Amino acid sequence: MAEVHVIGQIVGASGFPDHSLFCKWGIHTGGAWKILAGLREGQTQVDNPQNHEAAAWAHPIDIHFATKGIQGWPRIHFQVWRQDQFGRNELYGYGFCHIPTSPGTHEIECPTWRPTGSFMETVSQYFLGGGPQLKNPDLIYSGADRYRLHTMAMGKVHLRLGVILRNFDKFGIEC
Amino acid sequence: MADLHEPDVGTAYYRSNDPVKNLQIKINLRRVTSSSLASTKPVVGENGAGGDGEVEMTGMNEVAKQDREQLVLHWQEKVFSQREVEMYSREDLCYDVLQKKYHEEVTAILAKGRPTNRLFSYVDHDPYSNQDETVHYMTNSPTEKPSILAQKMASVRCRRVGGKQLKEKLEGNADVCIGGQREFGIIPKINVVELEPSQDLRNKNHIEAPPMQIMYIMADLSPRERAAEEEDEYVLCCLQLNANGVLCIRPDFNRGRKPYITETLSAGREVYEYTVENVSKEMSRLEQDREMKMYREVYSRHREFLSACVGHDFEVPQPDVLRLAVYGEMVSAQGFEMDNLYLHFFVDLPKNWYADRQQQLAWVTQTCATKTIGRDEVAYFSFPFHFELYYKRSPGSTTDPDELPRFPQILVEALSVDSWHRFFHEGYTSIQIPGKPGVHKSTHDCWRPVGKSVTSHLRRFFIGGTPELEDPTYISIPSTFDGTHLSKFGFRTETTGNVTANLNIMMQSSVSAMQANITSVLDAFKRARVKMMQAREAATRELLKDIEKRK
Repeated sequence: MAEVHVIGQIVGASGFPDHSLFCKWGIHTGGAWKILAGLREGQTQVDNPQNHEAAAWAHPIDIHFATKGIQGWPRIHFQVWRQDQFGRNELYGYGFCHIPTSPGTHEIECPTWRPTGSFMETVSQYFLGGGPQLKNPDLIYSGADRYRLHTMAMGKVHLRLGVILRNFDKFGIEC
Repeated sequence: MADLHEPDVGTAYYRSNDPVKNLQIKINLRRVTSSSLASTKPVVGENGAGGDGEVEMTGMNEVAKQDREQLVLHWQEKVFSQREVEMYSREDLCYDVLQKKYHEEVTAILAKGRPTNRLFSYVDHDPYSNQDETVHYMTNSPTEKPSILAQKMASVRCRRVGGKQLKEKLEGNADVCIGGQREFGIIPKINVVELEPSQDLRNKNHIEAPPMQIMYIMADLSPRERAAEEEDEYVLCCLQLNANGVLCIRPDFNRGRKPYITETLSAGREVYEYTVENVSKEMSRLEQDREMKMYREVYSRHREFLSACVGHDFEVPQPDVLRLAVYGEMVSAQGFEMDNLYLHFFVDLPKNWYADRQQQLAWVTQTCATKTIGRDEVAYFSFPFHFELYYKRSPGSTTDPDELPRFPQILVEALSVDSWHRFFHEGYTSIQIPGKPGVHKSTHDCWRPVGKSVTSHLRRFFIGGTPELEDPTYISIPSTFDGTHLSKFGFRTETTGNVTANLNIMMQSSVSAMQANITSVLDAFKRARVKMMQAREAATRELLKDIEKRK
């Protein structure tokens, strides 16, 4: 009977080695949560800044949850991709972060990483693009299998989210 | 205070979504003769003065009576002036469809008798209205020309309200979705970007000018003796209706204030006063109530649907137990010596804290190769984790019941493994879970134990392997510690990098639920009491009114 509104935007990304980026995002929740309105996932446009360093997406996030318990608080995951001038898409990073639990506006910087392969793969990646991707991105939520991964640090995704909570105080939750 | 009676000649804006055909305006026009004005300087010559006064007065009173006129107009209702009647009665001068239509109407009017009205109106499609928009100069400079924007606005505003424009918007150019009229999340099948926009599209997108309709209520203030000319027409009231439902009326309705004054510019300098009133038919009380009820029903049904979706139950922990939920992420690690870092961290539970059996309390992140930002080597983990703990004071505990609980800690080790399988401990640190709920983002510095001699440094550099902590809880208070003074003297360490983590803390307990419930019950009681007082006042007022009426 408690409700959570998440209203905000994916502002953009910075710190990536190259431009012309787009982002696929999705929000993942536990079983007790239900989406009343809004989209759970989406994809931004490709942004190619000419004079700036940071890519700007300004992609809206507007979603309304109802929940029966605080387990499974929503998490947002990102996949940043790069689209080059030939139209090929190359993975540039995965990022995960929790939706903040306290009401108000939050500026979030979510750093991203991408999997690396062997040395030869890195060399071919430098010339041809491409590179290894996660077989099953959902597995990474649990964190149990992450220790097997070898990754490298990429840039950061910037978010500005406003969180509105309803009826949480009735059930004795302080946040 | 003079404002209360002085007329306000500014523009007034009214917003309404109701159909505009309900609008009715009443205009009262009256000539003010010099005899009815209390204190003005005597008008020399024209109207006569002095000895003939009294005879003149009666004559003028009759004339004054004739010079009072009243007209009730609907939106875009065309009323012809005498000059227009003259103009349109001649068939040879009527060329286009509009003029022919006017000619028919005028002939019908003439058949009933020559009109003597002073009040008439110009509607949207009359040439007077179009002319005014395009040639509307702002300053009195003789060299002023309308700018490109003003010209484009004028051409855009000539469009009609509603009709084709609105339908086009609703059916959608499938690409642009305006104002949420289409469902969310539909990926357009055609290109969203228009490479060669037409002039029409450019006007629509660049110029924020909703189409509007204009109407003028005019008065023909020529003296009775001669024929009417165009210079004698004065604008009494100008109405503009936007497509957004905004009605601009200038001057505003009189609402019981003094009437407006307009003077003729001809030699006679006659003064007329007029009032503008709104006599639109109001929605009856019954209909208003019905509309209100309909809106309320729609909202309450939506609310019921939502709450049915959500359900009414919520998980509350057992009484006397505090539940602590932490949703966090390990964000990054920076400033360490080696590359390919990973973190290994776990939660250390003090006394009286419990966790579910399946609850995972230790995590290992992925190995991340660092990148250089500024002067630091940074590794990004973006590793989310979450756990739930319960605090329950056991009944046989020896601690003071008023003592605050000691919150758990997260103990973190940073390590690195490189391609040769050399294994390094990069640092240890601890993160104290804050006792305040909310979002906490913090950076924690790490340290690493060092050996006593140069050999350990050499070993670390060449083959890896550093002195490690046997008991990880040594990072904070060791679990084996029981005394009163903790001394770590003699333990040699070195500062290494730092680790950034984000924690979202939530606490839940049934005690605070009960408190919240009690306050909400009190609030509801207060509100109900206020409503009752208001209802009682209204009832007594009604009763008094009835008593007065019966008297």
